[in-house]
Amino acid sequence: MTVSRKNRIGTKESVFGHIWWVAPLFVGPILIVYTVLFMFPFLQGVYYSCTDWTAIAPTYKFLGLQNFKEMFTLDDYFINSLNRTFFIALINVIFTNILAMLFAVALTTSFRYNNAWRAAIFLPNVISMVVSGFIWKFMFSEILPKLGELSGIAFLTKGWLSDPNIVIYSIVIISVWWGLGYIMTIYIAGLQGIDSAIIEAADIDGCTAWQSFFKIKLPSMLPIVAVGIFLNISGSLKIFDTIYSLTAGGPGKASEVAMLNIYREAFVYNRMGYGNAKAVVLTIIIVIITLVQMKITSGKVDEK
Amino acid sequence: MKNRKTGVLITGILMGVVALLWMIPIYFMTINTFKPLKEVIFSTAAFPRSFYFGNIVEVWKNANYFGLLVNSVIITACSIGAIVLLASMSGYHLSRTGGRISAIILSYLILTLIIPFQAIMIPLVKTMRDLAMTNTRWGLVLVYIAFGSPMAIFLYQGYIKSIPRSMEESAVLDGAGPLQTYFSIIFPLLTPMTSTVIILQSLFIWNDFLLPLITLQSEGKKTIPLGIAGKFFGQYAFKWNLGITSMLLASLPMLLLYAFMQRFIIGGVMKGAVKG
Repeated sequence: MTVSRKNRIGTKESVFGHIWWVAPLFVGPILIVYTVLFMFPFLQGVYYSCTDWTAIAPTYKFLGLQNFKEMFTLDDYFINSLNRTFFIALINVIFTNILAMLFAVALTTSFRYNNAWRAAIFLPNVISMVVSGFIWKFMFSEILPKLGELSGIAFLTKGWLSDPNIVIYSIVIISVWWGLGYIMTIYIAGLQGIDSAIIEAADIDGCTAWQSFFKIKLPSMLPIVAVGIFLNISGSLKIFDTIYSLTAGGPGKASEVAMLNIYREAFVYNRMGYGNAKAVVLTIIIVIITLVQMKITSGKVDEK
Repeated sequence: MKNRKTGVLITGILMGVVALLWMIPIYFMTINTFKPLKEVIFSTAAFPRSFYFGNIVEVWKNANYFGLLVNSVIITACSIGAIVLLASMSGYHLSRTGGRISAIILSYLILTLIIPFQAIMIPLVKTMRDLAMTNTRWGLVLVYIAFGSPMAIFLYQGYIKSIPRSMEESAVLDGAGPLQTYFSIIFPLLTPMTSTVIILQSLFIWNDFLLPLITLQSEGKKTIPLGIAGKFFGQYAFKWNLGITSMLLASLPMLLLYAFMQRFIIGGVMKGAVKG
């Protein structure tokens, strides 16, 4: 999506091209701030991931790839947290995107309260994730069991946060609740962008709602669906705030995700170099997914 | 035709049920804010017998709520102001000059969309410490500028292409300099994109937790999500009445803003998605 922009940049000179201070003034400040606070720490981090740097010891030494070897051979907690993160991301992406698409289609009918429903479903997005975690901690530990007692539905009295096998699904519930509105909104924008003449023509030709969705709407929305899925995957792989406030990784380590493991390694156990090596691994995974996604999207856009 | 109408009605009602489901946590948070501790514990799901304001008063005083609110407002407003100004200026310049150098700068900035925050989180704290930026509000603002600007630059850069060059050419003929041309002609034309940028960035900055968590230590500088979360882990751990009240107070500014600007905010997200 972004690569194709390059060709669109005009080649004409700016009207102020001859004034020497224009470029430094307009572009300079951002480049400086960005380089110092983004690029520099990033490159530094790649280097640190090959050292035994801690926050406490005054010096550190170069270890080569030893941190990475330790991570994959000795650190079961990290590998488990990584697997857990993938699992949460996968289930979350499936549920969020299917439901978001379903809701988006259902909310682009002519029903008069659709905008109100859309607003309600988007609402969690304006609440911070750390607060959402707390709200749901209250829901899972106080409200749902109480509702279960009152109604006699045994399902609701499950150990939502105390059972290591269930806690993962509790996290998915929050992720879907929090993130669905945003994705749904993007899909609604996509559906509204489809030329209505095409859909009307299909209607006249006797296309069922089902056919018109799978044959017309969905194919023309593929680039937007790719964006939605990508946002959702990268968001889920970075999940941190919600779990920090919901379970802090517990019970035991049952809900410790990769980001929580990295955060603790670096800021609680102070093994900054090793923590950063883990962060580099997570980054590589996210970068690969991003590049695949960009490739797919730009391919789809070019076809059009 | 009649069939279709009933279809629309049934879908509409079903979606109403979904919308209600989505509001359940907000509902229970709100009603429990107005109950004393005993009532929260013994009749959690019930509507409050009478409206009790003790929790709100206590959290307001105890959590230094007003101070947190001021910090959040200052940090969000300064970051967004700077992002809008700097990103629109560079987006404008990069869009108008074209050529190799601009393309390289754009690809350089695009890296923020690919490299996740976690990759730089740990060394960032060190860099900030070296520059005496940790535990300061301005330090946090600068980091938000670095993180938020690239996305804004892309949105602006794409939008500016739709503005004809003749606009600034006529200004130049009238003798206006670059800054004057930019501020009096170009910037006002960018307003639709500026509102999208403000909406997307404020959702992110106001609610951000991890960055304040690793850079702000002193109580007096914390933002709402950080200050409230800290209280909850400490003093309010088993006091659900205070915990849930602080959650409501933490969300209230954004919920109020959302109540009044709901269409505008969702519209901003839609526009950002289609352009991005």
